[in-house]
Amino acid sequence: MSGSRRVLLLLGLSLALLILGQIVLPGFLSPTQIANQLKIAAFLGLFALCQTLAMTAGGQGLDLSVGAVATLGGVLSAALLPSLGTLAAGCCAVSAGLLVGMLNGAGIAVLDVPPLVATLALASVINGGLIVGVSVFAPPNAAGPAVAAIGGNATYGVPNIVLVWFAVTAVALWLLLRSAWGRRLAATGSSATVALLSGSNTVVVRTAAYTLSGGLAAFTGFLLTGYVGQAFLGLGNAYVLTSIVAAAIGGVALEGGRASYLGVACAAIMMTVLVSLLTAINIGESGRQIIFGLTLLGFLVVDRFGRPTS
Amino acid sequence: MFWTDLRRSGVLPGLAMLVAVVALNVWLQPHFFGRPSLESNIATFTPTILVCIAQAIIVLNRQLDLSLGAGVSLLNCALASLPTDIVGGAWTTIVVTLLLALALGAVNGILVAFLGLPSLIATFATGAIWFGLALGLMPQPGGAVDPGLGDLYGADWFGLPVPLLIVCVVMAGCILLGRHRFGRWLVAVGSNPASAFQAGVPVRAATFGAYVVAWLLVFLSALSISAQTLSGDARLGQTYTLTSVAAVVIGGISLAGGRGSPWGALLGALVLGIIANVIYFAGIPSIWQEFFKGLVVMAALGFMVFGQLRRRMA
Amino acid sequence: MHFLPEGVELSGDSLLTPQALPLLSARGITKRFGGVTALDGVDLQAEAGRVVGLLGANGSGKSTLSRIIAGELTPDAGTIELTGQVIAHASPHEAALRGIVIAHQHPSLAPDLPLWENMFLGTERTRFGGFIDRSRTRREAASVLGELGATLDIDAPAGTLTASGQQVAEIARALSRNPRLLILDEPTASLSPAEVARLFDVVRRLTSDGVGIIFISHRLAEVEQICDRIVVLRNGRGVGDWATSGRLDEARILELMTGDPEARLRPHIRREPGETVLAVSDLRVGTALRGVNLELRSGEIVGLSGLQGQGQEELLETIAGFRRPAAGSIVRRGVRVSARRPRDMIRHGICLVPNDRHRQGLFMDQSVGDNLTSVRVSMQHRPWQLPVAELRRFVEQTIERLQVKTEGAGQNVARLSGGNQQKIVIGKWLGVHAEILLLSDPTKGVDIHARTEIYATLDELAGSGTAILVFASDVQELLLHCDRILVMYEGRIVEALAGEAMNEQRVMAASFGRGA
Repeated sequence: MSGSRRVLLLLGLSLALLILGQIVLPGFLSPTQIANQLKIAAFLGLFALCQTLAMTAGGQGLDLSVGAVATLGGVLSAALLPSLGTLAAGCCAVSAGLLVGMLNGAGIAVLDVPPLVATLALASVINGGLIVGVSVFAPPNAAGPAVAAIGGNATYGVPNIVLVWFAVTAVALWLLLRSAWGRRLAATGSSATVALLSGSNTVVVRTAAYTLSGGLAAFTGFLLTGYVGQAFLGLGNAYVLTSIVAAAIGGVALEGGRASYLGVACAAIMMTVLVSLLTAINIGESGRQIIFGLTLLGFLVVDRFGRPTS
Repeated sequence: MFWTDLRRSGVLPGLAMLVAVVALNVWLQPHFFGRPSLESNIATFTPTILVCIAQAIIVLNRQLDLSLGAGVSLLNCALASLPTDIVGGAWTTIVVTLLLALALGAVNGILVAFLGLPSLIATFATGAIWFGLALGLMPQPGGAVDPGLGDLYGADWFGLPVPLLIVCVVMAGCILLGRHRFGRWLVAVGSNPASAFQAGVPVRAATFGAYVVAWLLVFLSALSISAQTLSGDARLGQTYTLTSVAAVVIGGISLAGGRGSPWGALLGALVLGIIANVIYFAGIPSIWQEFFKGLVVMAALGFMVFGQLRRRMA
Repeated sequence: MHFLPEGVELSGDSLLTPQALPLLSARGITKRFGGVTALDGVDLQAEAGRVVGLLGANGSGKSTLSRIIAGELTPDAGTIELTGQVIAHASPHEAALRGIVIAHQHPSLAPDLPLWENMFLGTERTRFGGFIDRSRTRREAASVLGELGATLDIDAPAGTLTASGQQVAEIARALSRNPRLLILDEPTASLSPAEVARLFDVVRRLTSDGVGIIFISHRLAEVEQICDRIVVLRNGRGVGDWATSGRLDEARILELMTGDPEARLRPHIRREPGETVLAVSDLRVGTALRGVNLELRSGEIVGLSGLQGQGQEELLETIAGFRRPAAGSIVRRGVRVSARRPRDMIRHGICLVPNDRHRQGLFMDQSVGDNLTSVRVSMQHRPWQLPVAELRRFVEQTIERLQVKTEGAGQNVARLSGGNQQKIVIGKWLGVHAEILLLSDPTKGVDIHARTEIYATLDELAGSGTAILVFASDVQELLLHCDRILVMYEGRIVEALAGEAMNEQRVMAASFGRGA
């Protein structure tokens, strides 16, 4: 499916779900509801961007550590907030994320560890470390007012977090499609050997992709504390696999290569609307999981047979 | 010849790891090699071992199955909720569960082999569906598994504990499969699907078959765990999936397919199981367990990576 | 009677010489891919015990034709008869069961399976319902390989074989299926002359056993040597079909294949080389390079020759920074250079057109434009920018300059013919001022027209000062285009020939280690 067709399909589907929701549950389509859903979609979209970077870099790339790193970012920023202030605390959180991402990248690009395994291992170490750290140090965990403002408030009716997401989306689109680095990333994902022979430093490119992913995950965790009000363990966990799914539905190929974030952003929106619709009509977790799985399968099938050259 | 084969199978790092962790375990628990300890270990490890071998079969075919854990949960809930007072009693329940397992495997097989969906995402989707079904069957942990199953599992046959026999039979099955045309097709497709197709290998049937065979093992795993818990829990199998991936990697099986052997998965499962023992016997407070498990997986990875690096330098 | 364009007459045997039914008779074969007609009513006959050579440029349809005969594709129209019976293959496997087997130009083996298993994949010798008879299979594998004179380890994973080993394995695999009709598609591309000789022995043995052979090759000398008749295709149509009686009229064949009298191999223009830009001394890499010394001067085209696998590929890859030398030095304009990756060498102006264009030269899932600009994009100083307009101009200019036949810059590169793909691989480097251009067998599997164009481009580059080092397995090509030729043997340069000494006999002698 071409990029623009996918975007249209996803947006169309989201609209259809919203309308369906309104029919079944009047009030579903209210501005506050939509704003809420956009907020959740924004977080999912940001995590899905992490996955987009990892997947585009090739070699069955994914980042299973986004949840752990987000939690790390949230906990760290909340802990440092009282002493360093919002900005510095946020920067520390992002730096930690960048560091973790670099470790991932080094393992994957230099040591040839499969991404599935490398990011999984790092995630368990970080999660474990956080459990220990939190119980030993019992750091403050409240989100500062500034972060809460971003996470919770709105500007002219548009939730701030969504504005942040728009800004990040713009940067992502430019980075992936309109910068030499984005082309190098797609090239590395398409064929690392050819990219190497064409003059790329594939190790640096792939490490950079995972580093960015880590930094972004930590940043998103930092913002998440604002949305939720505090930092807690398991903050990011729910987003790990859903972000991969959003990237897949959004059209990013697991083998690597050309990718665009626009489809992924729309996929994040569609998935959020779907889940909230299911929650709103009170389908138990059992039904939600099944419908979620079936929807994903549906997309995969459409994708598979919608391609003109199958 | 033997040593070359051993080296090429990629199990040496995993084997070395196993020796290391067993040594650690023995140090912490001097009675490790005593019969009660070994029996207890094998009984506990068997469900995981079986899922890991199932994953290995699929990975050798260059696919992945992220729904194995949810499958174990679903089969477990089926065993625990099917009425046992029907014709045939517990055996009917077991047969029905077996058929269910094969059906689940067939669904995955159809999606991946015949519809050509990417296995990682497709099985992630079916995993959600299996989990949903398990929750539907058993919203809260409960139900009852026929205690006869538990007795069977804890018994000794021919002087060997039943769990050990199960693993031996499964490994023997794997060896036979490796000698059979179908087993080699499975690996050939994982190594180079295009070449296998040109050679006339029925590629899609091979992948479909891989899933069905793997889910036979998932069924055995569900039986084994149900025999121990004697009840149903929809979240039972949650950790199995990623454990199976870790075990496959520790065992030297390439995620790109074609390279490695099910023995590697057995090794990997044992390594992970014994590491849990080590953590327990070292008296590490539970709060540190997650952290240590992660560290140990990283150490295993490091070992494996250096083995790979050394091979490349040679 | 079948098609014949005006002015082309049959000579030698007519196809209607009364004899037994031909082994294979393909008539009126037509095949379209989307809007492109690859084959338009082509006839081909193969006789038992005879070798028919199938010649044609890329895009002529010969690959398509052989794939149809081998069951990999189904024709849109036309019939295939096997000893008089109309057949239709549903799959390559079915064709193989009927005795029609193809040895592919690009062997595709399962890299992790041992050689003996690869050879019998799909035709396993089994017993008791599917269990593999290992000893019997291994014995058979060893015997077929022995016949080809190959000293390969049958237990080695196929992925560890060299290109020539894989080619031999592919041919062995085809032979092990006991074909009645064997199609050899560019079987000698990666083989050494000794292996080619053994192959031809096997071919003669097969024909004397009544097997029919279809032999596809660009190497006219080989075709002349082994074929009883030839069929020439151009643009999906047959343009010539006659018995060879031991000698080929090469000029006429070329004319038929290209339809362009100017496509003859051009006479060589001698150049005056400039200063020394590259000096390699005592370069060593494992067992592949055992101390290579050479010098390159600007404006000259130096050819690298010798038997396959004597280190030519490794030499070029090492100079380009793709391999790390164990010893020795590479000096560029008096300054010693070393590289951890090709990027470092590219910065010094040393560029490589690699051996395998599918796996090393092109991003097969990307467009012509993306591929052409990949080097510029990789090397530019400011990664946050992308000078779109400038790049587009470069792409248009390069497509024009190299005469690349493509629907446009946006076309996926996988759809181009081999020759055009190779032009893209070369074109990538035109934007980065390559001072030293290394080419590793750039005309392998490329039709004669594109070859001429490629060498014309190299001439142009040399004219503007680039130093070119090109490895080609076709000695004739090198003799025609190079200022001097270096012959490699067992990891060393054993002979440097220029001027009068540059002839095929000296090259051959040096290739076998017997030099002046």
